[in-house]
Amino acid sequence: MSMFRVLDISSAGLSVEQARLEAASSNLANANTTRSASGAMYQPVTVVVGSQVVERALGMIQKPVVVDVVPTNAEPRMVYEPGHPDANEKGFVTKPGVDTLSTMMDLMSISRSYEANLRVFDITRTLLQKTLEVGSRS
Amino acid sequence: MGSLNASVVESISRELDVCAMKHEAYSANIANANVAGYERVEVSSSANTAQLSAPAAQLLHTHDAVKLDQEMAKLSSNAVRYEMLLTAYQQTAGILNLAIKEGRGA
Repeated sequence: MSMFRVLDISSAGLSVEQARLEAASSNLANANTTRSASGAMYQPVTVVVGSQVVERALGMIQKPVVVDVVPTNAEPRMVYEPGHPDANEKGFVTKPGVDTLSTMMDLMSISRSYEANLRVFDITRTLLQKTLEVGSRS
Repeated sequence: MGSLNASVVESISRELDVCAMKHEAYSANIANANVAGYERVEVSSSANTAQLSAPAAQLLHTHDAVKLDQEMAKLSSNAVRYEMLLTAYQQTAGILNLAIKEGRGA
């Protein structure tokens, strides 16, 4: 039944937004990380989202899926902090190239999309419930 | 059945099908709103009630990007329409039921 497929599509949307939220929060939280367990610099990550055709005869309805989480090629920032143990001989510390402003913008768009998908899920649930009530009241 | 009611029930359920299909298309558009290169899908329905055997609606690819607010608005109004059709279906089925019971008892 197509209405149940809608729940599937909406939850796919929700999990994609959750993955994007995870990536954005990881980037923001690591904006000042100067060393990691492996010793390499923290590289900001981004989520690659693709579409997958939902099982359907007409074949055009698609649901989003997380294809991959990949590091971006953002250049690291050089911050002048002479007292820092990780500073180079000129007093500069290398920090991950996290663009805080655009990450905050991403967070807003993620929040809106998540809300929209949740709302669709809720509407679909209500419609399904109303459909099930047909025949029980008359 | 050749009764008037039967054809009403039939056309209402056909419209319900179209509504459910539209709901699916809009929700897919909302879910894919952030996918790069996604083109929104649209359901085109023909108001041809004379031909009940003809396919009710078909999916079309538009070449537009998804506008989240517009899609939400369309989805909500479609959901209201679905509820309205359900009520109409129930009322019509109620009348049929009354006929089946020969007018006795509600």
